[in-house]
Amino acid sequence: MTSRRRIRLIDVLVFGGLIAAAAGYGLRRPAASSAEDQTSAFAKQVDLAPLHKVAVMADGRLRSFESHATAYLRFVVGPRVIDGQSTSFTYLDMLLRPEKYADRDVVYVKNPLVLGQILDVLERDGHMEAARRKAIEKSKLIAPHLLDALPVQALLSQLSGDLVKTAKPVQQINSALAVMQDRVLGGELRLIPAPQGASDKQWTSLWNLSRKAPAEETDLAALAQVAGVPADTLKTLVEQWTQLAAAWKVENTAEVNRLLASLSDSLRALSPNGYPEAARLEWESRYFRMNSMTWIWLVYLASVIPLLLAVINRWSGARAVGLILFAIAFALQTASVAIRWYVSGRWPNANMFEAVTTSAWFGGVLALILELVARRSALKNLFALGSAVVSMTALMAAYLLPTDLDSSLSNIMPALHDVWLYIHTNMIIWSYAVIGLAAVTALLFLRQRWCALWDSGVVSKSRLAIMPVAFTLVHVTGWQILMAILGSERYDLRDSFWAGMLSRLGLGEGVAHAAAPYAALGVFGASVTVLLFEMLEARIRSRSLTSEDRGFAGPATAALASSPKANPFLTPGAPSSAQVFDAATMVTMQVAFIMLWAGIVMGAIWADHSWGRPWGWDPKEVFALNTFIIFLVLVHVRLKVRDKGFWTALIAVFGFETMMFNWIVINFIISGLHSYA
Amino acid sequence: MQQADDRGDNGMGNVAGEFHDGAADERVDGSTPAAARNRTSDNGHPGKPPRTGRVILRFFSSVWLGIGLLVLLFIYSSIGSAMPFVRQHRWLEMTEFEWFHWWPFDVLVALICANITVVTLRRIPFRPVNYGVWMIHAGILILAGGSVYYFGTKIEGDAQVLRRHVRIVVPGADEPAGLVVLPGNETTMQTPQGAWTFSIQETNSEYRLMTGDDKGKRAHAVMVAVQPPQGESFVRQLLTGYPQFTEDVLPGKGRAIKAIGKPLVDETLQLSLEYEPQEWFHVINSWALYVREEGAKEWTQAPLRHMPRYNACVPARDDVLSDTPVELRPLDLPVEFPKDQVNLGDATFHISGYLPYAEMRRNWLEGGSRLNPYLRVNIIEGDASPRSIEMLALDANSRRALDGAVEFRLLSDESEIDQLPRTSMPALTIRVPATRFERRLELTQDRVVGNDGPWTELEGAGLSYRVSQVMEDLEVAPGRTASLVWLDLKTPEKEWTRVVMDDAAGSFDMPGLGFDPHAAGAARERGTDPAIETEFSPSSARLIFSALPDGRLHVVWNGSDSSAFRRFAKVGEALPLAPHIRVVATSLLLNAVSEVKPYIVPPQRREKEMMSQFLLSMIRLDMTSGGRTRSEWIPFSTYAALDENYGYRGRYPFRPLRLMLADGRRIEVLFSRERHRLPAPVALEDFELLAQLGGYTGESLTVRNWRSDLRFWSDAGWTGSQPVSVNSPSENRGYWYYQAAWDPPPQNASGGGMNYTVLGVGNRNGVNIMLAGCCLSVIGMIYAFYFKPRIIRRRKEQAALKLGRGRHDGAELDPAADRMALGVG
Repeated sequence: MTSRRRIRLIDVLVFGGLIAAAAGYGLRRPAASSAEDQTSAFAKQVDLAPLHKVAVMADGRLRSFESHATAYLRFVVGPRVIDGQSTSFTYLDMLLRPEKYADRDVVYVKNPLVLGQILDVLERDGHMEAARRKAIEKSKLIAPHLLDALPVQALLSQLSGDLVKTAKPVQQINSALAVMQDRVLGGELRLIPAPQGASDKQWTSLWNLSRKAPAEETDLAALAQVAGVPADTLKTLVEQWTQLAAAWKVENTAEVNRLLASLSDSLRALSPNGYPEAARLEWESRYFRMNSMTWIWLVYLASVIPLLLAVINRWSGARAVGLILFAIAFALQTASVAIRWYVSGRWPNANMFEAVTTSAWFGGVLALILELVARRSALKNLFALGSAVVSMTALMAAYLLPTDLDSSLSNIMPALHDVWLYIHTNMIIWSYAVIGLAAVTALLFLRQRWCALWDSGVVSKSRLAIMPVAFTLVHVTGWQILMAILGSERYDLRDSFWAGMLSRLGLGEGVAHAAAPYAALGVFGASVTVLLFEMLEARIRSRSLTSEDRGFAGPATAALASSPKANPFLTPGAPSSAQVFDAATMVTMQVAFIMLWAGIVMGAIWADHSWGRPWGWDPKEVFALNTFIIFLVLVHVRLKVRDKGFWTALIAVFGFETMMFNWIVINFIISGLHSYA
Repeated sequence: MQQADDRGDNGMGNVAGEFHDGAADERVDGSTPAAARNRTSDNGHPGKPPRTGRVILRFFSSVWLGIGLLVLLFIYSSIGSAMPFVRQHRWLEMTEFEWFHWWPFDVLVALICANITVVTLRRIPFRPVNYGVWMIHAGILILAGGSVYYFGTKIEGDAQVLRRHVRIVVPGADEPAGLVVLPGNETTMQTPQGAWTFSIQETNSEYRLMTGDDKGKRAHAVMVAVQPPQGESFVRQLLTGYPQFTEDVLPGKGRAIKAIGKPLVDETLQLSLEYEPQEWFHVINSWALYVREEGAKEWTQAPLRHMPRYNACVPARDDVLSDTPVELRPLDLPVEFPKDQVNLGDATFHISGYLPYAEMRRNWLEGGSRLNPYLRVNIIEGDASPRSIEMLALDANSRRALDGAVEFRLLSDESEIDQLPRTSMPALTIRVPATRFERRLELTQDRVVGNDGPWTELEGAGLSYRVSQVMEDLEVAPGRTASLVWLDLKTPEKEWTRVVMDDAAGSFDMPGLGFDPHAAGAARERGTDPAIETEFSPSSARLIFSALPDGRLHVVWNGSDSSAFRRFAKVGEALPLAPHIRVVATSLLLNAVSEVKPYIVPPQRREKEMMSQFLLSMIRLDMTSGGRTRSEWIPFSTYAALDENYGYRGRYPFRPLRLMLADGRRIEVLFSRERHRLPAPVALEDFELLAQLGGYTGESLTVRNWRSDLRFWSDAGWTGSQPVSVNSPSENRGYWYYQAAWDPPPQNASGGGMNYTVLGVGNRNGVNIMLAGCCLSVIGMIYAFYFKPRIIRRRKEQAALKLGRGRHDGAELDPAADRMALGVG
């Protein structure tokens, strides 16, 4: 028993390292960008709460002001926060004091290659000092006036000619500059409800009216008629807006706060029936102010650590702490899904952000059910741990990559209005989460096997030490090479980590850059060779292991049976860790297997009546099928081999990687018909 | 011990045993011949198959074969999907569909099916414990069989269905004419009284009825501009489904009922809206060549097989223009038109070239027989790639470029250089001969004040002026332009407007307060008051290139004072205009002639959408007739439509090539997609856009759905309306119709667009067979994963009891009990 309680160095290194890296990176990001200390007193004192009850019409939806500001400012500042200000404040500030932002680094340029070229041009013309360049490269934020400079514009126009590589990043820069214009920030701020609550009419921009409204009352009446508002009401509104703009410019906090409150009331009073409920708008605002609640990944992270201890070291105290934290995290995530559902009026699975986060939530649901079923068996904690890791990863991705996983709320496209599609997408994303769960226990199995070999002394320790390194390198370099081939517009191997490494080894800058792709390829090739060799060796090695260490202990469903007769996992201490991990992998694998296949079939049913063919060989479809093929291989390999646990774990991890390839590479790089999720 | 363990693993505990009976596996893999014999007879396979057959059976009985085939399938699909460049390589030239229906794929799937069949029949006894595996395997075989039927008979394409055409009955015309309702379409009808011209001015799909029983309902309105042989033009408004509300609108006067007391200006002119049924659909990812005699309506098609798709085939370098060296790759595909459908005499056709993405471009060369100065300059801003401009000095339309900022002139000799403008501003000179007053006014923006702006007094001239508008480069006749100023003049006695033309002889006064220029017996009908002389010199380009007959090039740059210059320049010399802007003349030709060739657009400038649908593809057609061969490039046309009226002003390119046969007949040849006749013509009754909250704004997110109401032709006439919207297709005679594309309203033009719908059309034979296979396999999976282990467990317990050992401890494995439980011991 003592050996079970031993904390292994490898665990500390691998899990501790991963957790520390994730936490460090995740926590550093907002700290680097939000710069609380720079927040002006005015920004701190302005009370934007009244605006949270105000609706804006945009993109065929009525959304809260905060939601609107988030959606629009994302085009400009990307994932960044300006001076620690709230999004609503920055939006109004940019609209009412545009001059303040002309010289500030506020436009987010995501593509490093394009940003580098812009900075090169500016530096060559003497518009860029080294320190500022460094700051811009770090934050990826650049000032609009720098982008407006003639040489930069010339560069951008040249880059926009390359539709394969650079047109899209240039288009993003142009969108950012366009959104910063007051005719967009103000003109799209449609605050005045359509006359008589008409649902087929656009709302009107108060900013537009204030600009048009001349001094003469007669003209105001004409505008009021168009907007469907009584002339005197419109006059009041225009006055309030004009005064607000004036007070904002001089940072008169008291006046601004008073006007915001009265403006909010006036707007809501315009159409008492046609206006969305204040509660819904406030929840929508709150949701976005809480950063779409993606920070829940931290709570999941907090639960992962004790759950790992509970699983690997079988500490019962850790189990209680881990499960409580997991339950809290899951409850928070449930709340986040529910809020999103409530404010958007539809189940959240219509875009990439929703697909990822809802998928993770589905994983949590299954994990809870399985934890309940397996509460007395040796499988307990494993499903919670799997789900915690999957949810943590999913939410962390949404938290760290808010521009790729855009959390803005939008209407669903026409093709997605279908009950089969609804079932299909939910089934598929659920199966993806379950595949993730299986991969977690599969990885734990591989770790267990590695430890068993280490303890048995059959294999030299140096060879064993190389394995995890090779495993990591295969993934890192594999990803780099894949990105360089498929996403060459934003990634160049010559600028990769290997270039820095080579130059540190003493190679000249130019040589290091030129050699970096070969270094990546070489490392990848060597790592693959090592792993393939080790896999071939695994067959021989497994003979030296006991049946317990090989991990196989019977059919997966038996592990969930409630009677101790039927379920070997209910006997305390009887199954080995390897057996437990293998059984848990198979329990989730089987669920994923059926769900994935059923999901693919349902997708085909939907495609048949939406596109006219059940199967179109779209990359996304093909890779969903490929994932399923991997699992077909898994069940048949499991049938044939003696070392069932090892091969199951290995193929389950590969299946998970195929699924992730489908989700990430196919969606973002080889987008097909399924590009929405 | 090891053996026992392993057998235990393979038996009861085998998770994969949900699929396969582990003990049964051993039969093939390593059991004794005697045991094998016993079992063979057990399983009802009496007798020995011949030796080769046995080898094949053994081969297909292997689970490892299945695993290997699945891995190959994985690799094959991954290459086809994630590495499109493989299937698009010039040796393969395959679409995704073709890649996944290529013979290696078919062979792979066939082998998998054979493997599944043999393994299931030989190694998985049909017993309750194996029902799950049987269901999964049977389901997959049914799915595969259904797929063969489905994809073997699959035909899929799209059909554009227009809403209506206008049937035009004109008094005196022999027969009615038709005009397809797409804005911009125009037709002319000849009658003894003269020509009538009809054009579709606009359409409105959101027209609200203002009277009648259906007041407030939505209707589709069509505005037809009518120009009768005599009399004024008018607009006839037609409402789909409401012929009783047809009425005319007179330009500037409003509705005819109000202007002239009757709803129709000319009641003998009958315009009505009729269905525009579609009889064809065009097959996706197909090619076909069409031919018809000029004037004929119907096309005759020849489907093109074995065509390249993604890679250019260029027979000779001179055939195309390209930025990069072109790899020559010949193509020779004969095209056979069915002789019973079209008589083309002795003409034969071959396709000798193909370009996946190209546009026709004009190329200028020296060598013409007449003077035609041509200049190409590159403008280089910073490090950006140069912007190329082409100008022809003697062509009014292409003499200037960049909104008039650059101009190219031909000078007859060097002395004219001095007369080139020294400023780019337009200027107006006002002279009063009586008082010898003269003033030159540069017409800067603040001087142009509109016709209600303030007057400016000209001291010493006794008059005030107001420049209300400057209009430059108005096309007054084809190829002729003029510039003018609307100038208001005021003296103490009178006030009037003068139109000052750049050609002073064309200027004239208009009647004003206390002044009628024509009443005072002026010699010319149009003239100016000679007491005040005016002269207008329009704005000139800031950058003026001038060619001299001896081939020299002169450049005038009227930029800011510091950068301005006037000098001769050489071709290739960079002239700085501003700190970051340079201009280089790259080609000067005096007797230029042009040739039009396809330009291969470089890959980085190709638009994905255009590329995926091959909208800018072209073929090179060689026609041999009467011993002479003519080669021409033909660009792709989306549909083999009747005429260009269906092309919607280039949205659906319709670009036939006209050729002459040796016997003098003219033919049209069209390069498009293969088309098939629909089982029944389909008409579009109504087409509605269902928008999100706030209506459609031009953003795709504001569309909720579309609804096409279709009617199909049947023996009993048109069927009732069948709605089709996204996710809700409609069926007619074995073909399904899906909502595929639409006619979007122009930006911010509510009610525009919606003149046609594009329907996906396809059959779906065997879809239910495939579905049945899938469902069976899902049931099988649930059975195998969740019911089979229970059955095994129960049997094992019973077997253990029977053996009398009475051991119920599930954690301990007993191979003997396992085998009994599995029924194979």
